[in-house]
Amino acid sequence: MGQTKSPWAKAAFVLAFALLTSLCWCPWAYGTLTGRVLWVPTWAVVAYAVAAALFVLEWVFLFRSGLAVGDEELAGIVSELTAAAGDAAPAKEGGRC
Amino acid sequence: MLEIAIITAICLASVLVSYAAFRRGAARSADDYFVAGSSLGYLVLIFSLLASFVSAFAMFGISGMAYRLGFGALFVLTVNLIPLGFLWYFLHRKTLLIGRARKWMSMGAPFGDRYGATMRAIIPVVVLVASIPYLVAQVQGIGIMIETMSGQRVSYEVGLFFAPAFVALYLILGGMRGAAWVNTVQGIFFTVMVFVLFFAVMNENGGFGPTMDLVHEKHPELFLLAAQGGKAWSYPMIFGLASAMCLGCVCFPQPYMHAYSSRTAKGFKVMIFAFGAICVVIISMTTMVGIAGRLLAPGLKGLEADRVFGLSAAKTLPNWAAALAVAGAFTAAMTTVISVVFGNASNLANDLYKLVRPQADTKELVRLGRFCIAGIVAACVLIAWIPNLPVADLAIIAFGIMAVTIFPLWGAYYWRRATRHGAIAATLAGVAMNLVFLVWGLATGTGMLLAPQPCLLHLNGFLVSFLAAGLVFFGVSLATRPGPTERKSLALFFHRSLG
Repeated sequence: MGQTKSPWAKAAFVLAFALLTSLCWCPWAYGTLTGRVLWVPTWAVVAYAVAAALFVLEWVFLFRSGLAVGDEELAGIVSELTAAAGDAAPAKEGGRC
Repeated sequence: MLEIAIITAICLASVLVSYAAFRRGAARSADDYFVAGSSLGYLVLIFSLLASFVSAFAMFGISGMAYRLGFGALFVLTVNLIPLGFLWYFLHRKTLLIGRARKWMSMGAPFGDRYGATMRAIIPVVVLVASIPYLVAQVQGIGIMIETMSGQRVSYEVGLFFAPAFVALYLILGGMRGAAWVNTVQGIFFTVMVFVLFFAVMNENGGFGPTMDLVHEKHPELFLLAAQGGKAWSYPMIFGLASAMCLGCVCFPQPYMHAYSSRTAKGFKVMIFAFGAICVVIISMTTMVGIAGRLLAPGLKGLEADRVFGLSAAKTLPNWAAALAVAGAFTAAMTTVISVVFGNASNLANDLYKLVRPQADTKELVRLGRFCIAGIVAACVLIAWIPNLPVADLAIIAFGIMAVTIFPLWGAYYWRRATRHGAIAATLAGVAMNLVFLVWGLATGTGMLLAPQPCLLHLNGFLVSFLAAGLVFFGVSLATRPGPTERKSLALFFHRSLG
């Protein structure tokens, strides 16, 4: 279950995700590249390469790292949550602080 | 009129597929109608999610934007969406797990369980506000397409009524199960047609390389970012649009509904993983079609640029094939209307109406959902009557507004100290600021919500609103104490089994 998964491995993935996401959302490290590669701007090719790297990393995280929730855990988690949901059903109104 | 006949035939086929799903036993209860009984498989999940997002924006909007502004459009709906694979996982893992346990059926349900009834009631209103420009973009795109493909024999105004009539019909007949299957068929169809159009357009000038060489020769500015001396695509502009679109994707109702609909954890992961990659492939092609459109349909200005997709098809394919290519884009717009209208109807019925009438039964909720669908579609046609903004701008505005709910969502799942006061204040402040910047930008012609402004530290209105919403969320949450609902919800939202 989740609590047995290494928080350090997860943190490493999160850091890598954050770095690559910043490059996918803004070409801050490669936006000044000039010229063309394969007929399109060089910076666009770099953006695709960064996106591809992130895509591979996501695949590893979701399907190979054992850090993401899997089907073998799903039924157990849902049944525990279903039991907890009975006790934790929300109050009728938010209440006042 | 062959083109219009083909489009009409494809719409009718959509209705028949949906009705067939209905006849097979779907949509017999509210659970089936709204989330397909949590039983959708991989293929249906992926393509229905794809079809529900890929829209008039991805087809006409992005090709029109690329036509006007060049390769920078790749940061609006292609490479910037790859982070969705992990963002969606982290922000909707608990939506999948707790949603299954609590049998959530609407986007407001997690907010209601975590923050109480007020937040649950606010969410459907926020979603509706954000959905309107997005839906108007679809309806407007469909109207433009009908007018373009009919050689202006069918007016734009008449075209506005075309798709909404079909959408309302098959939603009322089929519900979510029907819509999901129809989305799948349409998703595959428009993917194939985008490939066909891309190769036809590039073949017109001897292939991809020669086409790009010609565009580069005539319009080198389309290949430049602001950092290289281009007129558009400064870093703040790129970051503002890229983050608005990606974060907005996380916060729109579709991810919630599809998380509830996932049959397995693997199906959920495959869906969120594949979505961004498929978008990159398909929408890169529509972007390139828009750029190559500078050669095929020169001289389109402003809103006219949204016609480049249809005009490129008409100039490079035989009439029947052009009609099929455009019909692919048309169905993409239609499926988005279906999904967004459906999500709103579900939210209004389950989150808002049930607060007023907790004793409402299944029949009553489904009936109300149908009325909501008809009302929302009618309102969008009315607003689209006089188009003010390009399709792309309308869609980005919608996603930007929706993105401000990411803080309450994150807080619900990952921050024990989050309070309903913080969630409510952040949502209202973020949405209000977006609307103020939108109206201000329209009134002054500055496009304040999307274009970076010197008076906003060279950020665009969306980013300022987004950052303000985050500050309000953390500030107000820390300044107030969690009430009984928030404290009680911790047992479920931070249950040890969730890791």
